[in-house]
Amino acid sequence: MLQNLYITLAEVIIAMKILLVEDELDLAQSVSSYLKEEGYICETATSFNMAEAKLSSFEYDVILLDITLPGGSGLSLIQLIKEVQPADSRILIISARNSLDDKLEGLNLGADDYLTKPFHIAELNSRINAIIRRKLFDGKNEIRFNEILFDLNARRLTIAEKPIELTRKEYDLLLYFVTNKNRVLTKEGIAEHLWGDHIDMANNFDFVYTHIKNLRRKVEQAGGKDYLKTVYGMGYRFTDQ
Amino acid sequence: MKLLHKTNIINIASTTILLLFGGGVLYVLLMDTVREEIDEKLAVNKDRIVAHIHTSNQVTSIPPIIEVKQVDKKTILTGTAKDTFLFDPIEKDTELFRELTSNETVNGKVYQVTIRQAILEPHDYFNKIGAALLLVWILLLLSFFLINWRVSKSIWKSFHNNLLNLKRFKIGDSQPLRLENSNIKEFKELNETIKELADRVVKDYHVLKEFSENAAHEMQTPLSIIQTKLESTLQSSHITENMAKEIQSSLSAVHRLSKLNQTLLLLTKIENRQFSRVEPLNISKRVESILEEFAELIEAKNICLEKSLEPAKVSSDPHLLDILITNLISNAIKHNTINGTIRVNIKPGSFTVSNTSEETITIPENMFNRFTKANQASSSLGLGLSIVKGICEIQEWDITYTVQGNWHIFVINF
Repeated sequence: MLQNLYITLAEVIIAMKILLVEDELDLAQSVSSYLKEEGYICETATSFNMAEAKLSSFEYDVILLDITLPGGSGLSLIQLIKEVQPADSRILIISARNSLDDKLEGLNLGADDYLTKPFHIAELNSRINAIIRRKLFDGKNEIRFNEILFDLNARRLTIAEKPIELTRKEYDLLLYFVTNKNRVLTKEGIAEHLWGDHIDMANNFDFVYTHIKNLRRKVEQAGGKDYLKTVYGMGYRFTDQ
Repeated sequence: MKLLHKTNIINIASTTILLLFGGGVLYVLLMDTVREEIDEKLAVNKDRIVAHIHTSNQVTSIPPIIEVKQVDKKTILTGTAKDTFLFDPIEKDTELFRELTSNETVNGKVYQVTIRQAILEPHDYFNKIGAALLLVWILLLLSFFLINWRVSKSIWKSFHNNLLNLKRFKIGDSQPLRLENSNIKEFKELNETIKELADRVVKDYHVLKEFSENAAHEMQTPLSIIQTKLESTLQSSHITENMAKEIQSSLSAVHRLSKLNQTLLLLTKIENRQFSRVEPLNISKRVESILEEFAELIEAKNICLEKSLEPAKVSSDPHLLDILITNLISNAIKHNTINGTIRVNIKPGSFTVSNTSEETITIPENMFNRFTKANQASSSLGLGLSIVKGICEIQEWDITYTVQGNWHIFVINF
């Protein structure tokens, strides 16, 4: 029965409709093809007017919004979204401006999250995933990957129905892997996901390595399979294929 | 030396020279006039005595004032006056006399008539004139100081206030430079020039700042395109190991570039005081939770963490405080040795992070400079401690760095 619930969840996510408002065609194209591979329906708007038109005509679950657009500020689109889109549609701002003021203003206007350019595409995927989960599940909120089960609300992890103790970073790391399963994840992306963007990162790749080593050991001790593959010269891939 | 002192010294020196010269001239003139006058009197008196002898035929002498004696032949005497010292039996003292001696023929007899008059000695003149001038000199001096004191209180007041304003003026501040008006032409001109200069500098500064900010922001978009494209390529199953390595190094470089960009922007923002939220925060709580974030990393190097965190209040922007603590702790881990130690101490008013390290710091003063790295080859940006320093500066906290043996100690006093 539990299994059935997750299948439904997966189907719901597949049906998610995303509008990407981004004026850089190259970037829009890469992001949109990545999101399509992840199973989302993704449409792109490359100008303020185009975004306005699309938002007024169609409903979206998640809107990825660049702030600096030809024809107007993305921040003023938030107002429009609040008026014409369903109440539960979510907004994620993607901006080249890493300013706390812009961030606070965006969040105050009603955006759900804020991502600074340049971003790791896996990070974007994680954020979208988190937003959708918050949107869908007010009560029970779980992610399963084979024998690994996350209870997101309680931040607890069970492997083969047995609870396992992880530190906060290890939990975040495993969740990042599972959310971006089958993808090659770079050490830079992982480090940034774990520590944010304000520390000088030099030795953080050793830090990442240390975390991964510990995580592997703990999962294996708890009886989980080692799904984590080191992809030589690139990073890591979490996969059961 | 103050301008006033300088003019004072010049004034005093020139007055002194003038007074000395004036005193000399006065002395010479006075002596001259007095002598002329006395000589005239002596001549008149001599004529009176000659007339007296002529009428009464009597010779009267009142030494040392008048001495008349009959002489045999008429030697020619010039009849000019001269100074001479003589003993005055009444005063019982040697006095200076002006003396006129001349031979006169009265009623066929030749008389030598000597008339004398006691006069002031030159050093008496000298003393009196000196005393008078000294008094004038002292009065002048006093008046100089009084005038200067008044002048510096009133006329220079606006100048000093403006100097203070200039010292406090910071280009990055939102406050424009305010200068006090003055009705003195020179000060007015100076104010106008400074104001113009400051306005121009502020304007240029803003233009430059805006340019570098925009440039940095503009750079982020192409960087994100490169990064996204490279990451997409990485996902492809057709790439060889070699290609993957190349892509990975390109990705690392892009990552570093964007980090550098972001960090420089952050530094600029800190310096521009764009973090204006100030809240009372318990620094110990923040440190505790950030140490937790780093727990695994500390463990990974088998570093021993000794902490003593007393509750301490600071007023700061919470975001900035977190950046500061994070940078200090990450620095202490990064440069530590395996099995090393980190000590974190918080007392009311001070926050200390010390760590063991085998790295030698050649110039501790440069520690907080931008792009200072322990190891030039490291991929570290060398900006972490500059950020810490920047935050301390705008919070007006005092940060010091010292090395004691293999201990590196950062102390912040707030």
